Amino acid sequence: MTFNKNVGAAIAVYSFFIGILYAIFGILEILIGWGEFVGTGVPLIQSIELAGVNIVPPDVFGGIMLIIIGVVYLTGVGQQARVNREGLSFLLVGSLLAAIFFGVYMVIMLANSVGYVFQFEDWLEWVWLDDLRPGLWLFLLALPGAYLALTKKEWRE
Amino acid sequence: MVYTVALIGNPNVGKSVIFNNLVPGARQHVGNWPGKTVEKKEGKCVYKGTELKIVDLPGTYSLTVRAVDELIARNYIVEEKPDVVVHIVDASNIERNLYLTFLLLELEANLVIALNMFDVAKEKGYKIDVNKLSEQLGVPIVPTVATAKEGMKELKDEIVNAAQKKGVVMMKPKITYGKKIEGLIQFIVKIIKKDETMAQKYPARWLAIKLLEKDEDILEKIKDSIYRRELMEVIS
Amino acid sequence: MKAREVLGEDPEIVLADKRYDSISTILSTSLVRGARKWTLTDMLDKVFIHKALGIPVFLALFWAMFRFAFDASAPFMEIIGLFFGLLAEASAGIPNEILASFIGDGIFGGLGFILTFIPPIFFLFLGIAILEDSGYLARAAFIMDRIMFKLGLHGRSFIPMLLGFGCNIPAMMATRSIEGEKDRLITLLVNPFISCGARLPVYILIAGAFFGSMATTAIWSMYFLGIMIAILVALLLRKTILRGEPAPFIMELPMYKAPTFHGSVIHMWERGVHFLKKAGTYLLAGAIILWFLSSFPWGVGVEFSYTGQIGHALAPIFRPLGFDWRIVASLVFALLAKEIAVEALGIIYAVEGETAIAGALVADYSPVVGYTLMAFTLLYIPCVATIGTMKKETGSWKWTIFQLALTLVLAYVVGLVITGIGAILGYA
Repeated sequence: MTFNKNVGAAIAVYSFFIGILYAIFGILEILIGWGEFVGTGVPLIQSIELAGVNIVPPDVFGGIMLIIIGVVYLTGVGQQARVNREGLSFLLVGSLLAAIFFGVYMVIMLANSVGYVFQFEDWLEWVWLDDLRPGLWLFLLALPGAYLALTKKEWRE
Repeated sequence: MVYTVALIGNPNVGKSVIFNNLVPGARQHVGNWPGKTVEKKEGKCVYKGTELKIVDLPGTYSLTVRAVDELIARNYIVEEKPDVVVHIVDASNIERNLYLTFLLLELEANLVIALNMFDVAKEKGYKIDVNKLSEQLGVPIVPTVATAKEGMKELKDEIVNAAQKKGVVMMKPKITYGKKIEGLIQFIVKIIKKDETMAQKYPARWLAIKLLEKDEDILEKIKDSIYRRELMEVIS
Repeated sequence: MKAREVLGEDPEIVLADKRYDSISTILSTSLVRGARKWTLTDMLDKVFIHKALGIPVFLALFWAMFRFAFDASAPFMEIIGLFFGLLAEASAGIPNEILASFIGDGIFGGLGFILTFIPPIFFLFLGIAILEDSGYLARAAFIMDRIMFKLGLHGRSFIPMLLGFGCNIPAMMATRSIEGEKDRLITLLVNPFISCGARLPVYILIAGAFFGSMATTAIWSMYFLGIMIAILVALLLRKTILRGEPAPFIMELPMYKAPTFHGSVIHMWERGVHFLKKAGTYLLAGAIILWFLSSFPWGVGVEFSYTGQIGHALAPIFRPLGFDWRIVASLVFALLAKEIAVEALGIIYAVEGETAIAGALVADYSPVVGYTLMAFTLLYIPCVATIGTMKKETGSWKWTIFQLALTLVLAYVVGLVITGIGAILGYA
């Protein structure tokens, strides 16, 4: 697959889509977590649920990080559309960051399950669904991009 | 037969990886260089019946007096006179690395070069004629990819080879620096050779070069020589 | 023959030139460069050293690393605590009362509590090792250098400062890679202000007791305060005692490389074990001394034990900060290892378990005192092991003592400021 106008355009659209999603959910995490952060306990948005499961946690700093990832993706859009291969750097690093955050959240979930198994005090009421968050499931959408950025070596030459 | 082998090279060239390849973890010993806070790593390995004592010198770009690391490396080579010095060169950054090679040649170290990160150089598009390079430097060169453990056997062969040949063949330096400087060097070497203790302790040509550079450590070391005045006259 | 006359210029320059000439000549026949490829490293650096994105990405990566270090290690801390708790219980059955207390409370209790902080420190070192092995840390240092230069610090101070979040001891040892003497000294002097892993249990206890839902923010504020003070003191030192410009930061950026799990674990292990060996002996000694001083004279109760006596003797000095003999006594013990402060408070109040200690604290002190205590713990004299490392790295008692004075005075002053602000805002 050569990096031509059509491919560039497709990747630009994809990067835009993923970037916007990360940024939006980042903002949502901030809004939901705002109350806790400033100590008032009142979030700016109540919560986001899918089939009764909370999928966006309150987390101001975590939200900022998601926005950063989104911005990285978005920065590459212009160059990708113009078939400038340097734009692929942003897809690569965006995917890398998304993967790292996915990994970290995954490891934390695993660690929490260890706490649950041992029935320690802080984990008595923990369910794995508690740890579900955009950093985890958005990465599934980011996977195709990561795959392309890493494997298409011919685009780099 | 026990041979001492010193490893030297710029930082980040894969020196530790090569050290770990040559000396299994259990036989490594970490301490400090006497009187310094710099770490000293050494270990033993046995290859084809010969025992090699491997010392990992601190990673340095050069061998001046200005940094503790460099002075340690330099003093070790000059004073302990290891049987072989393995200079680990990053093939993908070869110009910068060769500077140290030249300094080592001046030190008259019994040199073997491990041309490491050969894969990275290839990826960068470099094509290195190893034989030609070896011929021009007058030093055996072994291409290696330490992280993949490639070239290790050949490296050990060259090390043992060089150790056995040490001092047997007195080679004229292949690298010279032009008539004017060489003339000066020879002039100083003649004076140095008159002082027996100095001539025995240090390689004469190296001493001459260091004097020309007004190396503080060397100036300190020749303080007590009766030929000091004569030498100072030439270099000041 | 005179060198200068023959050559017409400084021999050192001529020699260097000749060497480089020779290198070029030799390489011209044995090296063919080929077209410069656009490598993976180039692609990654486009973003990692990007003028605008470089710093945000840096923040994201380090935030992820800290999250990993502190959150993923939580259950493992509990496991270690559980293990030592069981050992402590088992030793209660020893017939000799003093011996039982020595082994149960002194050794297992004290040591166990302290060892629970190994997981976060090791995890942090693992994170740093991964970033280092991949080659990213060099870029981070490079990015930070621009900022650090303006603050009077050297770019190479970055990694030692970073390590300080785990433990100040390997952090101070890492300053050996800093070339300028003054740069290195400044980095060593301010390193203890970086909040190490040992202070965390103290923050968690106090913040948890006094600040409820704002606890996490309060703890984050300590980290932030530590960084701010480190920067300010560094700037101050640069302008006064250790004047001068930081040495130029020349560093090679190695090519990026996928870190191997094996390799990074080894790096983590080296730093971690080093820390354990150095700090471990002090921690064990500290736990035993604490036990001894608070158990004897035997049977008299903590307030009249040696611990209590020390606390009462020093208390007047700290009254302006709102500290009484109990807090002062625990601070004295924290000199051995800052985590011990929690343990010490437990013994002094004769209660066990964090909730009980927290309860006792809330009963006796106001939130302002609590916050002052957190700040004081952050800033005052580093633990004995760190002092020892400082002496070893500087080779001078003068600077070590200077650091002791600096940290103590600064802690006291900041404590007064906080108490003052608290009073103005209306808290007792």
